[in-house]
Amino acid sequence: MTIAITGIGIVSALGIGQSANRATLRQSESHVGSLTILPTRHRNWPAGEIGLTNEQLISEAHLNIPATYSRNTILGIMALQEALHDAGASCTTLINGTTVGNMDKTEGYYGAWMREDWTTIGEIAHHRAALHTRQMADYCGMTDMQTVSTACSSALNAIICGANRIRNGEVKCVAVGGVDSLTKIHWNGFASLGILSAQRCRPFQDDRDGINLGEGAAYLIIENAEYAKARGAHIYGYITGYCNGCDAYHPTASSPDGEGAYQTMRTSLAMAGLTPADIPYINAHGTATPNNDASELCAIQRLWGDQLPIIESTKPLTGHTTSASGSIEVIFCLDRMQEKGYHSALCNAFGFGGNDSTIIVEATTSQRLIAAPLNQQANCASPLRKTSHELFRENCKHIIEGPVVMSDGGLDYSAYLPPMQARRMTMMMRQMVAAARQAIEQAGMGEPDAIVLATQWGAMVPSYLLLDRMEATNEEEMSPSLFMMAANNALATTLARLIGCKGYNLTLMGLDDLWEQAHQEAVRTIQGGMTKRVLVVAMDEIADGWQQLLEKANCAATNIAQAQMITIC
Amino acid sequence: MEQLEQELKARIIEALNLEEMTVEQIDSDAPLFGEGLGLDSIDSLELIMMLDKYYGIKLTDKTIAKQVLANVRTLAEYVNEHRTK
Repeated sequence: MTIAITGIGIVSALGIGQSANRATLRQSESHVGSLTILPTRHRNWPAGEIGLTNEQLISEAHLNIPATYSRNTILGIMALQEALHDAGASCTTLINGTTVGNMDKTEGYYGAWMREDWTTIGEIAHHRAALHTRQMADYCGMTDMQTVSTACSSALNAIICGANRIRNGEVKCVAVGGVDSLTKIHWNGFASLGILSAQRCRPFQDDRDGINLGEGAAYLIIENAEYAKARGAHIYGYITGYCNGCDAYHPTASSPDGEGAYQTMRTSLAMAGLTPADIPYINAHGTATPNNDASELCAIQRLWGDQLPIIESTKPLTGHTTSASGSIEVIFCLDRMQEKGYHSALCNAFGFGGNDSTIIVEATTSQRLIAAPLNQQANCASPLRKTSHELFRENCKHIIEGPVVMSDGGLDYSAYLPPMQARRMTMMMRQMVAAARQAIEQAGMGEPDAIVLATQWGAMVPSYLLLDRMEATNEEEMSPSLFMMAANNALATTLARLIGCKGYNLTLMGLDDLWEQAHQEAVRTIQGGMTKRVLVVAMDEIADGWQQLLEKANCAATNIAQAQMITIC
Repeated sequence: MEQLEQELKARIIEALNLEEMTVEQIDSDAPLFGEGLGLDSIDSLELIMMLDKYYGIKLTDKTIAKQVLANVRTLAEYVNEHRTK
């Protein structure tokens, strides 16, 4: 089984579309500059902003969409549409990586909601990232969708989820990638962490002093290579190795020795059947914070020794496009391979909570085939798409499930959480830790090697408090500790840190299907041989203030923390 | 000065959400970071914001910040000398 890349679509500060991006990349021309679009009053940091308003973007791309669509959805549709058109394949599955979701719209409406102007309150339902993905999928005629949200590694994890589905024989073709537009909340949030540079960022340089944020979207169409060849598709390259893991070290910082990145690069190389010496080019995460670059370089040196390949970070050109960075940079890998004649490239992306991902792309596949899934016995009999959750589980007879532990707030967490660790965690997060610990103990399967979590509203309490404080103080007051807990994947990475689970760590954004989503994805990772014992979690916590807004919109949301272990026999 | 130290301890508990801790449990001379209270780098960012908000102190130099935030006593001395509100 090989996985071919047959379509590419990209929007970044470098330009709209593949050819504009390629031309600017080849000139190594930076498009990081002053903000012109984002309505923030803090303008002292440069960014890789796409210098067109939403209206200009819609008109430029001739999109026929409602004026209420978010910038994130607009950018996503632009890149997705290009990728689908480029591949010319019939592709109905979209796996979208994003953290922003429709947050830019919520920011825009929130001021009116604070003044009790309820004209736009109905839009609050669209705050959920899964609905942003649905808007994109609907516009492009796609019927099956999934939203991955692991902060800055979201796009690479969307690619990994898609590659795994192809490898498992579930789909022939899938659109994968990510999108994040600039929002005030993460602009202010990164600023409060003190990691934005006032100059163009300088990855891996001794005088580096922080990130330039950016925005963009990029999607790849990936296919079963046999299917792609049979239909005569143009093949840009092949995905031959991939891995995700969790550093489980700190909420925002990477470990000094880059253990998480070391493991994901090592496992990806093994999967591709390559040695470090086979890789001529790395597109590094290279955010230009002192911590990230030191940690990443340390991880690279542990594998490559003093025979380092070319290590490039393209973030001084585009800015750090957060959830889109992984897919944008895989496209840059493909272009550098074409430009410089490299036969392979490795791409890294790391997210908050130490969520580390690596992808290896190769120009040809020669005789080496990507290893077949390890857990063949867990393979399901029929294609899974469009089947119900029950049928899905019936088909996966070798999956063993532990007891389900649920909480709506009543579990005693004190035995699992020392006060110093609990202090940054909201009530339901503490419940989640207790439910997870009890699910692990009751299952008797040993410690999990992976966590798959699904949520509707993400880390709602910190993100709501942050939004409210930002709007109420006109961007004067932010909280670094709230910001680092506000990314959707703070739930799953906090859990990983507390239970010491350094393996696969995925956060999915769902609707009323959280348990099914988390469960199905957990089974897929077991099928694909990526995991053996998965802690499956559904989690939501609704802030009181947010609950009141939801009630104005007749929208219901409930607290939930549910956990279960699954494995194969 | 002792009164300022008490006030700062209460501000630290509030800013860092140390809900199970009381002012009496914080020793003015014990290190805030590492051993001692066990705070981390994110806490130091929160404390710097707290100093700005309540005392009008902008601690931008990391080396100075480290010295100032060594313990409650060093913090109180600095606040006493540099506060603008």
